[in-house]
Amino acid sequence: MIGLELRRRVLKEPLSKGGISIDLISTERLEEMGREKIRFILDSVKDGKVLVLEKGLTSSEELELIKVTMSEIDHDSFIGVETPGFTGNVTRRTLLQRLLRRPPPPRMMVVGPAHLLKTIKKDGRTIEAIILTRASDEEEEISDEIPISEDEIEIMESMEGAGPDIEIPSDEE
Amino acid sequence: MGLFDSLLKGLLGLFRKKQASIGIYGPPNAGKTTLANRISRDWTGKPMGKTSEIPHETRKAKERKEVVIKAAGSRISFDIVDTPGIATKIDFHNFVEDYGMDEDKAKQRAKEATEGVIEAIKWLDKVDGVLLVMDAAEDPFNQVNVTLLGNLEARKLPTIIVANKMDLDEASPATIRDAFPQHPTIPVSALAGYGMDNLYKAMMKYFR
Repeated sequence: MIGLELRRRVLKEPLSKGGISIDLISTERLEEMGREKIRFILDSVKDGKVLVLEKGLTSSEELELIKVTMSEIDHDSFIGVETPGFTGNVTRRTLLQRLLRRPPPPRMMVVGPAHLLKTIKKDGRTIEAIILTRASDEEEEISDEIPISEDEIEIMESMEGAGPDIEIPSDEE
Repeated sequence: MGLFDSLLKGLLGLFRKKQASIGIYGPPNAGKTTLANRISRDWTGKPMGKTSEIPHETRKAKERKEVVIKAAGSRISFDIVDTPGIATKIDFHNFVEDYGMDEDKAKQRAKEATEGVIEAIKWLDKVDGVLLVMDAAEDPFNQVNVTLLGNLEARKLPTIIVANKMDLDEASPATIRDAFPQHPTIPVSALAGYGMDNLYKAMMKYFR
């Protein structure tokens, strides 16, 4: 379970500015970045963005992303990355790929901050993920409270001291 | 030890076949240390590390050298390396909220866990083969499993998938086999000792 306290704190910034930014990054843009792509991805994710990479990372790039992420985890504002994707699909491969022992090329991938993006279900063909929003966060916080309107507060105030005085007999009597 | 003995040992070392180093990898709480303990106890009589239901109990890699395994009519000596669980995120709140841990201890554990992940990744450069431990009762398609397998394949490291926790009712090694058909999958319960003979035979076959 993701810590509510952390979520509340981090959610303040990006959501107060109008929601979570989802950036679609083309293959060309990623390729232009070369070795800088891991830095770009991590900086974006730390800014609270969710990235959709047209062509994901290779498995060695993903491992590099995990390594760099671990060295930058700040327990108050950044707990890591969530990376649902078909990247480095090792589940099925073509006969030619098997014969050549060539790893399959990276495929589409989503990268986001772990406190906002959560993978629900994943199989070889479908990925279900959710982006946690302020609404769902608040819902969790106030779910056990009954909202009271201003009119109701006024009525309650006017009733104060207006009720019948009931004396509760003590045991001693 | 005398000078002659030291020289003799050094010379023998030059001609001795390099010991195969086998890394035990996987996500947190897959049962890596339970497996390492089972293998080490079976062949050396000693355990390798402490286990816990709290994730990231192993935060430093541990190595047991010269574990001689006998199976399928062969005898091979391995160095067994139990590595910290690999994760893409570590939140100290989980230790506080789910396991009632004191906040300072939880933060310290989380910090050590991040260092452990980095160490585990670095060990990939040193091992000769990998036992990739998966919880057979969980969805095998988690990103850590997929990323690790992709890397092991890219490095051409012989890999055996250990479908662990076969003692659980929900365990389904067939799901793992279907997910990753190109790798041998051996169902075991490291806790109960089930399937270990098959694993040792597979180690003889794939890590020779």
